[in-house]
Amino acid sequence: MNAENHTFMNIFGLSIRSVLRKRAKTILLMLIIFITSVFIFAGWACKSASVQTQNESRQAIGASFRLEENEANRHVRMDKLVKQIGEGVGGSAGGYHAEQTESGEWFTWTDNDFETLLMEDILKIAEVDGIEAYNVTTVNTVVNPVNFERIEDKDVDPSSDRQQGVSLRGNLCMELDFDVQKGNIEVKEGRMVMPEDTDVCVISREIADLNGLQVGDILEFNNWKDREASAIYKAKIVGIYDSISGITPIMYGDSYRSENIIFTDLSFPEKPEGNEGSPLYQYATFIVENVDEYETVKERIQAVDIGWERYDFLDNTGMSDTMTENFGELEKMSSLILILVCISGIVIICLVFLFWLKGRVHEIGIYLSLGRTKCGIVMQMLLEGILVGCVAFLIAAAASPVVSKGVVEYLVDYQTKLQAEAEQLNAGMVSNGVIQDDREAEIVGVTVEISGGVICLSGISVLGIIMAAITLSCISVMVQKPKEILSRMS
Amino acid sequence: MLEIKDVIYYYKSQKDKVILNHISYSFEQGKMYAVLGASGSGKTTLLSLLAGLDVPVEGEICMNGVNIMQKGLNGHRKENISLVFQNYNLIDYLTPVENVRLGGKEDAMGLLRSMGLDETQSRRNVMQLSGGQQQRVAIARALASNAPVLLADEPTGNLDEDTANEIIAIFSELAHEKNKCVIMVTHSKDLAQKADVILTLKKGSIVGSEDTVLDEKIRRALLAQAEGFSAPDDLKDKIMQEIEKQNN
Repeated sequence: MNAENHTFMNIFGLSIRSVLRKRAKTILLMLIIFITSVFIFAGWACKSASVQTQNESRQAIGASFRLEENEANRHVRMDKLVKQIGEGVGGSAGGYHAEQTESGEWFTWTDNDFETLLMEDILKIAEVDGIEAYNVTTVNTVVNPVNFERIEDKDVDPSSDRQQGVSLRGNLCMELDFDVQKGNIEVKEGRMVMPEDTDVCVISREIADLNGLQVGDILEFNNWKDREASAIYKAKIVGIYDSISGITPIMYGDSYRSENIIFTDLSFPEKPEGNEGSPLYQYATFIVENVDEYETVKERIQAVDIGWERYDFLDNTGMSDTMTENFGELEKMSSLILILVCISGIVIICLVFLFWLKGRVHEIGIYLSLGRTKCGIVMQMLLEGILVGCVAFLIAAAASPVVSKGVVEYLVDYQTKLQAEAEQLNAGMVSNGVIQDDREAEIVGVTVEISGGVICLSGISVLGIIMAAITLSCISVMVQKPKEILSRMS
Repeated sequence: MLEIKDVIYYYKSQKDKVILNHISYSFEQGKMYAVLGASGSGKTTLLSLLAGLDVPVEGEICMNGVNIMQKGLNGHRKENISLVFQNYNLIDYLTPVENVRLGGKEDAMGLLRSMGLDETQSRRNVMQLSGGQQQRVAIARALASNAPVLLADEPTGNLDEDTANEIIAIFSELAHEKNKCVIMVTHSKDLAQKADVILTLKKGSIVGSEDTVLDEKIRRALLAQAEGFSAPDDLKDKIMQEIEKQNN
């Protein structure tokens, strides 16, 4: 019997010998497959990561809506009130005040009634079917700490912090405050502020340590503009929070620094400021009960009869949609990477094998003269490619977590920049820096995992590329007569 | 045994240039054939057709009376043919033993030993052997297949005279002792003389078939007749033809 009755073992034995004894070619091929595999891993991991991000962003932003004051409408309302009072005339209307000083200059200001979100509008939205919960947050209100000391940076010139106070942030439900939701802070001692609470607060660990404060102690605050004579209001400490990644200050100065932010019940901040009964709600957050009904709930909210022109509703401005679209783009880019890597992988491996085959005409001719079929010869080439591919793939699998993470982070960063550019173009729609910080934090949460699914998909892709490339390159062998191949040998 | 019947061969791109023109011949087992001819006379093409590496444009090639196309060319090469080339054609990443094993499941080491290679030589890379040793490995591989026909294309072209004679002696032994049909293409008339039959190709046709064994028998018979002995009956006609040729 002839060897050409090639068993699998025979082909396998020859493939092993060829791979092991032609080391330069094997290393070259292994390197190419390794690089291809790594990028395929990155592509699949990136695809998976982008979906996660999309889901996470929907959970964090998409599944909740936020109501804010519309800056453009604020100016419109102000113009109307100016006209209502009359130009060159002092007076007050709708929270707008105009007063002429002794020097003849006009001094104008707005109070909380003018700036605040209207509670009746918030409640109307909160009643929409599909809204699970809602929260109202006051503006960070600077007040004077009466019976305790604040945290100060000794290296910073205190004159730049005129108010010399601490910030009070009132919440209807502290649990839904964005810094709590994002995990920037955690209440590890005591509890958070509840909707039914009155005159309570949650302080930072730093303030507690500095002043030796504990849960149950009473803090006193008054108006920073009149530290000596203004009325003092008391709030009981119900919890102490620890900073995990800190609260991003909205303004410069120790009054706004993360450690000096004190969370209170919704109606407390206005009291020491001297505006009891006139709150300043900065924004309201509405949590969607079922994420899948997000769009439907959004439509229901938009149908609520309130003066929408006064507000920026996060989706009304298109910001949430933009976010989702950006991460949709990320998925598209992942697909594009995969397609490009697959095509380039096939082309490169095909060219390498064509180059190989040119040098192996002699060997192929010998096999043909020994009576082996062309299919058997192509099988051997395939097996060689797969053997090398397996080793390269395993090495790539080991390296892929690092590379994939790098690629995904690069793409996310790229998307974030795109988004930031888009936001700059729509700068008028953003009322303050808090929202922007919040959105950036959602993107930081991207994780890359080389799961079993990713490994399987990558393995199938690499195998497909190797088989396609080798089969394509072997077409030149398949179409030639044995005599032509043997004549090329000589 | 191996028969070519009225074979015509030309390249389809050059139909006016016929490589083999109505060739017919029957090769027998136990004989060694030498195919002589100038370059371009069609020797290698004839060998390719016999090996099933190519197919004739017209005519047929039969093995034991059956057209080789019926069984398939791969099958023909697997079972009936072993090939030996001028440039040895060994797989460069295999050892001599592994190369011989490609030929078949015969005792590779024993075959190499019978070809004069020791164990050390048989286990090193085949490219580290001399030309003569490589050709012996190639012949051992051909023998491993147990195919009845051995085709050799210029098997001694790259070898020195002594080694070439040794290789031809091996071929002769294969034909006469192992009953194989050995067909060898060569340029060398001296080496061809060592074959049993010499076929001369010229412009695609067989222009001469010289049975060197028969000629030797006739020469001996004529000598015997001159000394008063009677020639064997089966050679009488041939002797008469030879006497007439010499008288003319």
